[in-house]
Amino acid sequence: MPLSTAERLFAAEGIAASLRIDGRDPLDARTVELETGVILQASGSCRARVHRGSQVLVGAKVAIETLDGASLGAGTSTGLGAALGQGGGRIVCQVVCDPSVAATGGGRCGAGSGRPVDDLTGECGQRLSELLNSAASGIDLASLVVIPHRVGWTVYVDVLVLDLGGNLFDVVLLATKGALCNLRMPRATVLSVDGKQDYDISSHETERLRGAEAIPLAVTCYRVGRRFVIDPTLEEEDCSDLSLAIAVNAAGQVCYMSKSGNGASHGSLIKTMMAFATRRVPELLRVADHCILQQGTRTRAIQGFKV
Amino acid sequence: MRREIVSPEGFRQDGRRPEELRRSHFRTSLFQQVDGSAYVEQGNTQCLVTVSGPREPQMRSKSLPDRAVVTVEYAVAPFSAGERKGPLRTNRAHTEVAASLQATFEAAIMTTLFPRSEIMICVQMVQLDGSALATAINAVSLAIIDAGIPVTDYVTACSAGYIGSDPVLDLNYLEESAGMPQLTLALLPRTRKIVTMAMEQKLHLDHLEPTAEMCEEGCLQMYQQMNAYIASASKLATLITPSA
Repeated sequence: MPLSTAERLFAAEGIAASLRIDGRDPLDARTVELETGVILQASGSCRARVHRGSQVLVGAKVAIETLDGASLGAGTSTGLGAALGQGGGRIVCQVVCDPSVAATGGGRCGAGSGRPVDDLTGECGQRLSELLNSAASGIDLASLVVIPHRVGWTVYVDVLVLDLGGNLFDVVLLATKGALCNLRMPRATVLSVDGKQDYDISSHETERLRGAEAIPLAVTCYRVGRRFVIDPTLEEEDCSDLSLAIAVNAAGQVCYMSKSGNGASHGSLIKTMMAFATRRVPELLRVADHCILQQGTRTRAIQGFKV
Repeated sequence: MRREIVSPEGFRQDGRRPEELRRSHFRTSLFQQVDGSAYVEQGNTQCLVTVSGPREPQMRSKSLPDRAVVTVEYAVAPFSAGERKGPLRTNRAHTEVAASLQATFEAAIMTTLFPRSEIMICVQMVQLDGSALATAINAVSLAIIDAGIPVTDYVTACSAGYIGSDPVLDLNYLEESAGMPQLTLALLPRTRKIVTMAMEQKLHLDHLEPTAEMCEEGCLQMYQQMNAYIASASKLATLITPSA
């Protein structure tokens, strides 16, 4: 159900008076619950659940991929071309919705115009893919290369949106970080046979994805009226006409930025948002990293979903 | 080397006896935006179900004047199986599962109480390790009860295979892929009426009866577990929110 004009006004004027629908401060976030290693079939997995908000499940799988002449020709559009630029390895991201979200979430989410859910998940996947495949992600993409320009690992990051409660990208990135920190891939060793390079995949030795701990986290700032809020509910997201996703690493450096929504803004607001994000994210990272590392690898009893 | 499904000592590869179910976990009321939801884990097969309704049909043309329409969406997560599969727009196998779930629950839900309305069931398989249809049926059954939709009875399901000269209960992925005939049975446990019976390979008629009997036994065991869970969950709910 899209919001009515009166409901929208109620939410917007509340925010103008620093009073949000659920009683939070404009710059307060909801609590998140993280659980890693929930899916045994995946190489790495993580579930993130925001209190009264979105819930996502991320499964990462690795596959070894050979870049030969045929796939090179066809690969430019599917990202294999990009993989070649990096020497072989790549990360493929996809965000899909649970059918119930696809059926009920339509027409009532996203910056101002009631965007369809497909649009929202598509944008989210695109952002994730751009961020993770860039040098700023902190992931050692070169470590995914087995034989340069020929064989490399592809990490498939599949995000399943189980519940939609606003602020999707931040949650997705957090859960993706959890899944990639949890990721264990088989060790590949390069052998030289008669001057030709070949590889062997170990059946019992595994290694971590190098640099996964350095993945930045994002804060998306949503403009409502003259102010901005973070971690909006679905209703507040609907009132916002402009949002800016800012990913920042532990050193406080901005790694990625993406604006959405049909509004336009002066640079001063953008600067305020950036200053806020660079202050906030390192703090967030400390807590998140502690939580992710403490869970270790599949040591926790896997009970799936806790209520 | 082909491993045997049941060892001479009478154990299966995962350590179960032939007539033993895998361990299962249940959870209900997981989401806020839907009327009912359930999560069922049978061994490593995990399934998440949400139910919304009875409500006004999203497509008016689909409504029926005398009863509610049950629609089922079935999806499998890309990371659910051993090999990654990208999401497909239309998958015939999935459509078939959805149709069979729809038929099963149209038999159990008292649809005539809600004319011109729709009950929507969304099934998401999170992880696959054999007996997917049976797990999905059990999960939908719990989600419908969680949504408070009137049903004649629980619907409980179980699968069984037949190997050598004996049936085995609740197949996992390894046993399923050994190519033995697999029977999935869904039961209304109190009346012992069968609502769904699915079998895709051939099996001698003489062997069908012991296999079906074992399935029925499995369904009844499942019923006890599910009923015990619902009883404890509803007790918990009344403790938390006393009727004011």
